[in-house]
Amino acid sequence: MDEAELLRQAQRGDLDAFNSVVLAHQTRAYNVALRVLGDGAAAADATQEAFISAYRSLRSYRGGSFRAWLLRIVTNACYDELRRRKRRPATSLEDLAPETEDGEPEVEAWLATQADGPERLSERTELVAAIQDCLDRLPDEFRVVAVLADVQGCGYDEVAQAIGKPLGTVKSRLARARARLRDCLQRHGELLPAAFRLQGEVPS
Amino acid sequence: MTRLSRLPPRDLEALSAYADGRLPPAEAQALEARLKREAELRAALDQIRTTASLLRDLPSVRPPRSFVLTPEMAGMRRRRMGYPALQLATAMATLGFIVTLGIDLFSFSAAPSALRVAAPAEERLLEAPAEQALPLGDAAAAGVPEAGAAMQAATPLEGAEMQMDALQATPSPAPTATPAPAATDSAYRAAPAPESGSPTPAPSIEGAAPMVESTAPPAAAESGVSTAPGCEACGGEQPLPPETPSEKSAGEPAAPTAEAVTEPGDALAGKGEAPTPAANAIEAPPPLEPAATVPPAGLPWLRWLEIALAGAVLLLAGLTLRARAKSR
Repeated sequence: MDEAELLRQAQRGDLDAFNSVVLAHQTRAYNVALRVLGDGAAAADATQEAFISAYRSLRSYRGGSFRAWLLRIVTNACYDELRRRKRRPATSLEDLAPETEDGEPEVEAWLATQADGPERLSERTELVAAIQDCLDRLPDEFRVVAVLADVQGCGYDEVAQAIGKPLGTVKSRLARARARLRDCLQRHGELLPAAFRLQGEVPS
Repeated sequence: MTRLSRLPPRDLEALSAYADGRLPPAEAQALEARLKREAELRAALDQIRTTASLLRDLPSVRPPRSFVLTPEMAGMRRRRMGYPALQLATAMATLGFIVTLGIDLFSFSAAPSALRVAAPAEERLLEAPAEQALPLGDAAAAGVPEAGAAMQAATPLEGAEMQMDALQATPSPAPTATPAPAATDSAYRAAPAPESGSPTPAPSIEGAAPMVESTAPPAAAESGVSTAPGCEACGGEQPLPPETPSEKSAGEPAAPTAEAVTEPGDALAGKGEAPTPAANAIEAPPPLEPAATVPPAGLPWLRWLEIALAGAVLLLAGLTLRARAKSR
């Protein structure tokens, strides 16, 4: 059964049909939240919130790209969490510390094991941690665009739909997010691929 | 070493869009011409491409659990929407409690004066409870005249209702069926009349004096003194009717007020005078004990409404706080 038909059934209140759609989209949704929030537990909560609110507001979905429609809800759930953190900065910092240092890389390490040998593993884990660290340092709205466009590979139009902003905003935010990320990653030089490091040494 | 952030924003945007193949053809041509000439621009483009590819290569993390919705989750929004609804319900219940309390307190000050005109036979019996109830109705314990004035504010209909309460609340030792309707009828006329609304404690003392040998515990009389400066004339020998009404009157008003003490501050905020009688009720706990011995069947419906509302406020406030704690 195709997604459009499942969505029609879900709109009529068929929870099982909706859950089929959830299964198809949950990894992407979770990864968007994970990269935006930089915290596995918060990302899981935001993803769950997003699917609940997607189910509840399914009537407002009127065709078009369901992925973009869903990404907008996921993005909003992330913004909610980010706002909550700003209201309670002390606790959120505590929550963050063990998650980024211990929890999350472990998950990624588990994933990486399958592809890489053990000596490549720690390097790779460190690189992932460095990228996430640089993502975390971006302003929220830049990070969201960078995650959607570069991490998830969404097109400009899809990103524009997901963040509810015009195309021009997407372009300029993405450009500035990339520039900041690049400058931040430069500080983690030894972790980066050799080619990336060399390109930094431009005679000027 | 170049820093991408230092590039002119226009160049940066153009390079970024160009890297994604999203630069309009004319602009792309112009940029390509510049790229051939400017090494720094070329380096910047490479950096942008590498950065984007680093992000793209971030491993996809497997979700820690499935986000499939359970039927409870599908209905969960009701719970989240329940928070504002709970807030509103709490506010309404608090308001209802305050209004009911206000009506009840007015009824205690309104009842005796109307009865005095309407049913003199009942007067002496009602006097003692009414006098003792007054301080609860008026924190300043300014006395009966003020309470009478307050009664004027009440509509005749309210006055009649309150009177019915007062009559129900006080078991009549002389079971004559006629006084009750007479009193209700007269309440329509008596309530607005100023003179009826300004009785002094004096007649009550005189009227009740013959009944000095009362069976009521002295604690009840003490509470009457401690809570009613206006009744100081009564002294420790405040006359009490032989029947239990005096006990009841001392205990009953204390019961709802004691409820009020347990309420959150905002419940009382609107009612400036409330805290004082409440404090009085705490200062004189003995009257509460006899109240417990009085069968609850004697409580008028207004009391029950107050107690029910107070309970509802507490329950709703608790639920609201829990909902808020959960939603955070």
